[in-house]
Amino acid sequence: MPHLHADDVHKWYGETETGYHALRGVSFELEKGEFAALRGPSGCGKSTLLHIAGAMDRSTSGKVTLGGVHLEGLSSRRLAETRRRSIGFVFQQFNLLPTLTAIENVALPLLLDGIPSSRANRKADAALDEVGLASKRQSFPSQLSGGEMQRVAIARAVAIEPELLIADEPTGSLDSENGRRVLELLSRLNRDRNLTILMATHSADAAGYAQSVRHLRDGVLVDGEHTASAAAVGPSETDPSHAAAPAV
Amino acid sequence: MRWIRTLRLSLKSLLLHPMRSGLTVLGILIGVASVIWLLAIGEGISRASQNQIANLGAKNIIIRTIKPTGDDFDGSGYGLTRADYQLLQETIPTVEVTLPIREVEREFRFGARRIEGRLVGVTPDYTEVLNLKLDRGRFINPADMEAERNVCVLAWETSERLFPQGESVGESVMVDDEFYTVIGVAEPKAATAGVGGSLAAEDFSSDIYIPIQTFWRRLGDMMVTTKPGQYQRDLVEVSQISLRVRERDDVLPTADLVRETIDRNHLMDDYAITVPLELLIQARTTQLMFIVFLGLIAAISLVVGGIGIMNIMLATVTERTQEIGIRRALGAKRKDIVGQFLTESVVLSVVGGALGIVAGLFCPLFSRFARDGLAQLFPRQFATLPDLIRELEPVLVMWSIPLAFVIAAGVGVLFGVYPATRAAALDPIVALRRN
Repeated sequence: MPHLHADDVHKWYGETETGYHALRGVSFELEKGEFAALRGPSGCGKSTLLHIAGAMDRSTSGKVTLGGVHLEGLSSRRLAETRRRSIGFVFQQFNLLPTLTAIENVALPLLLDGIPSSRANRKADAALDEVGLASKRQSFPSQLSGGEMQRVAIARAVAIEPELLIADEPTGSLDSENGRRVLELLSRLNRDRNLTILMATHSADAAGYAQSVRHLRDGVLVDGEHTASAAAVGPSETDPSHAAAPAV
Repeated sequence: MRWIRTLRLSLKSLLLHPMRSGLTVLGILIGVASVIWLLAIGEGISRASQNQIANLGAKNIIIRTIKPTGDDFDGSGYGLTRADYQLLQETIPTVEVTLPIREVEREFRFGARRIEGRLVGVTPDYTEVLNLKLDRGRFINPADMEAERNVCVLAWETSERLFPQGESVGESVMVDDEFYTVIGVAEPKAATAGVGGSLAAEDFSSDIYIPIQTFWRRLGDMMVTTKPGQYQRDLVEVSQISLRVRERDDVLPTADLVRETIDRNHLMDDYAITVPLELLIQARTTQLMFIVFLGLIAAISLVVGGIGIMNIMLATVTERTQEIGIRRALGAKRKDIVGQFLTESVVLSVVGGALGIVAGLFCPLFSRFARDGLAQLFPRQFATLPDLIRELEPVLVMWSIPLAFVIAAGVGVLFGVYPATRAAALDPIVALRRN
């Protein structure tokens, strides 16, 4: 049974039939521990699909199942709970809260879930350690570089031990070096934690880190081909300092 | 503890904009302080006027002669009579003491020293009914009355002015062509303010008291006043009759009975009855209206402060749309967002409320400071202000403090709910996209 399953998903903005048809019957499956990339030009519906798969939005019709749970059937409250407990988000613009330190940002979803501060902080510490930013735990976002901010955002996403990590253009605001480090980090987390990742990207290089790539055009998946696994690239994961951009 | 975390977060957010938060707090501070101040000033004015009335004696009924005006006054005798006094004394059982008073302006002389003052014919009950205390010597006694003796008791200031160098008791004061032996000196007595339309302000400082029997015998009822360009004849037997009722509960029925009794013998409007208890009840009603009125003003200022909070919180929600979007994307419930923004508005209002209470507590001190300052800076103008204002002592109304605090917190909740629910209603995707 697939871990994430989208079946004939449609999304209309505005009135159905007369509004904007952003997704036009998208179907795909993601296995547990799969790292999938979603490629396509701007406005093709990548973000919309990520929002629906990430329980942030609802489809107009069709079914999305995460870990056997139909997301359409959930109340707003349960959707929020699903986001809190099962889904980690990584955004292009990092979306860290500027008033909170790195560790406070990472601990935020845990605290929102009612986990006691001490436990939340322990988990946040471990997550920061995992992304190599233990020394920056008390830094505010304004004191971090773009790459560091995105790594904090990744730490925040994985601190809750999610079933699915959604990354929307995670390297879109980073230079190539920092982008490479972020992608390597995602690959490592995918491998070490058997974490399912769905990543939207423009970049063919970035998509090369994924085990599979889906192409979306005008709200339709144009193919479902599985590319060569980024794991095959070898050095990029075992030794990030010698990483080379893998071919798509 | 979840709420401590929310509180800490709220403080952190508010401190990000200290000027903005400070001005919002100031709005509430002024609102709360004005609740406390206005109630304290209202209470001060009310107590002062009630004290003035209470000084007249809550168990007393005061009937005063007034000069009639109009066509039916033929210029002959008017006012209260000895017969009225006898009638009241003998027919109303609830009255404990009946005190007749006859007074007239006269010149008092001792040697070469002359002063103008008020010669007051009284009975021994005067001290008790008007709460006059003796400094030395004795007051008029029944024997003085019986024998119609030429004895007198001086008011404190009269004694000081006529006998600045030495002891007045034992000396003789000359009034018209009669000598009166000083038998006592009263303690200073504060003047009373005029009450209603029936009782004029009364100054006791230049009084000389003599037995009323002596007054009637020596001075008679006809008083002729001659001043340049003025000649006035007044035929009056009694200037005032003060009654003291035994029980407070009987005061109002007794006052009705007194009105009926006196009215029967008077065809003209030549007397006025003042019942301090009635005035006291009236004053309390007025006080209630006063409190409502001042409360309304304070409430308006609090509403203005509340609108300030709402305004700031709405601006904050707009400004922090991204933050709301991030929190919602991370799984925050609507309740969490409402709680966070509501906590911020309540923190603003509670801090403003607490500071407002502190400012409110300084009201009496500030009032004294302002009064002294005005008296020194503008002495002439200050002197023309009414006594009630010049001598105003605000009295803190203790219940106004918790009330003000509860209102402040309520304002925070009331005016914070809308921005908070608006924040919570934001769609996470829309909120994230807006940035």
